[in-house]
Amino acid sequence: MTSQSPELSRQLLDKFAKKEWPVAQSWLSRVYGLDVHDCEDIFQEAFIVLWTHLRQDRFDIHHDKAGSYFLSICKKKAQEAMRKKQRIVPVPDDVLAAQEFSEAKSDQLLLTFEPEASLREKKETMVRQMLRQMPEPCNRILWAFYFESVSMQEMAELYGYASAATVKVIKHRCLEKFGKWFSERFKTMFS
Amino acid sequence: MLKQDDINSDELTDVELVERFLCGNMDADEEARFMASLNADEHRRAKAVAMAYLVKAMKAEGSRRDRQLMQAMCSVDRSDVAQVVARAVCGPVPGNTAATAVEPAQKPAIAVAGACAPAPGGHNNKIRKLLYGFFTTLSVAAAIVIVFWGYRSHIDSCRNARLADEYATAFAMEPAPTRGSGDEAMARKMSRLFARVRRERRSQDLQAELSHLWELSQQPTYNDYTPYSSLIGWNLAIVCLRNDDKARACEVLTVLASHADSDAVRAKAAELLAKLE
Repeated sequence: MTSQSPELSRQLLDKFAKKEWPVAQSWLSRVYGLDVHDCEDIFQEAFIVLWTHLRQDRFDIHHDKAGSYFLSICKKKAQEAMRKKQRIVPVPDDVLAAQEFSEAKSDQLLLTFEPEASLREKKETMVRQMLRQMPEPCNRILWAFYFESVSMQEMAELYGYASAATVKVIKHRCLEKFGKWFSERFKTMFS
Repeated sequence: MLKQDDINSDELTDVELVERFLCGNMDADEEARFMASLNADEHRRAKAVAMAYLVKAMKAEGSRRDRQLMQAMCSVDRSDVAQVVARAVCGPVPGNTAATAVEPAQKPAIAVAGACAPAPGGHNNKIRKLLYGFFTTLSVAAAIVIVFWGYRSHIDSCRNARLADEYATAFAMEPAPTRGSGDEAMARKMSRLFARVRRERRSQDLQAELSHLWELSQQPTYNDYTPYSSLIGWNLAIVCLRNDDKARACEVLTVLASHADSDAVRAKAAELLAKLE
């Protein structure tokens, strides 16, 4: 593993923490009824745990996803806090993995229908570039579903949507937008 | 807004089928049928290919991000982590000296970072509320004082103007015996000036002019204005009151009350001064 500068490291961690804090805070206060100070305590403790796990190689990069892994630590910390306060709350489903999307299966489909390797690489690079600029809420929903394998119900709880059906509608709309972007982009590129 | 019922059921089936395939949940027969259906339908194939690219790119990009995060976590120490958390929760942290001032193992990260750390029992929150209450009360009190002060000033100003109107005509010009045509011209000049005092409501020019004449009339050596000294002083006091310059009016009236050459002016000056004070 190559080392990176402390400044870059801090920037990456800042970005990650700033992305996770509003989600964690809103989720913890909604599901567990915690006030903002308890949410801050849980968030900071969970962050220290994540830091420890990453340093101790307890985080499996091939299986675990940092975002959902971190939120599952937050959930455990929240449950501990609830136990200390002797408050019983309905325990939400595990944040981790509903169904895992397989890279091998994506490769299989692409190899079948897009046999030209250079074209595949070009398209994949462009999609990756697009992912870095994807607007909300599609950015959040599509990443959570296709990368972190968070179920619709869990997303509704995490991001404060009314129901799993609402998330499904948003995800559908985002997929439609992506499909439109994809077809237009590559039609222009290769026409 | 788009509702779930609005989503075409065929499209949903398409998406769900592709997702089922990409998750590896199809058995061999189902997979073969699925691939055949994609072969036969260009529209479906394009959609499935786009989704496969999305999943593949997300896997690659997400893993890259997580690897970077791992590296970042491994290259910072605990106090850095505390700073990161503090920045995320409270905004930028000024300096990091507090991070090392306490025992990190004992304290939560934000407390270690020393920024917006909530003390147990929401103590900081209480302080914040108290400060908010204090500053709100202070602001309201300041507003009340300003309004009261403004109102009082207005009342004072009205009262001064009313007194000025009341006393403006107390004296007709009674100059000292004239000593020729030069004195008559001076008398006309003074008469016009005093008429202006009775006529004009507010005038800084008039006050400046009368102040100048008042100084001349008070000089130890006799001059053209000496015989009009009391009247100049009296009219200056009236103009000062109209201009809301009560201090200057009192100053002039005090001189008049003790040194005016006419008993009537002395008495009226003392009377007006008493009312003003």
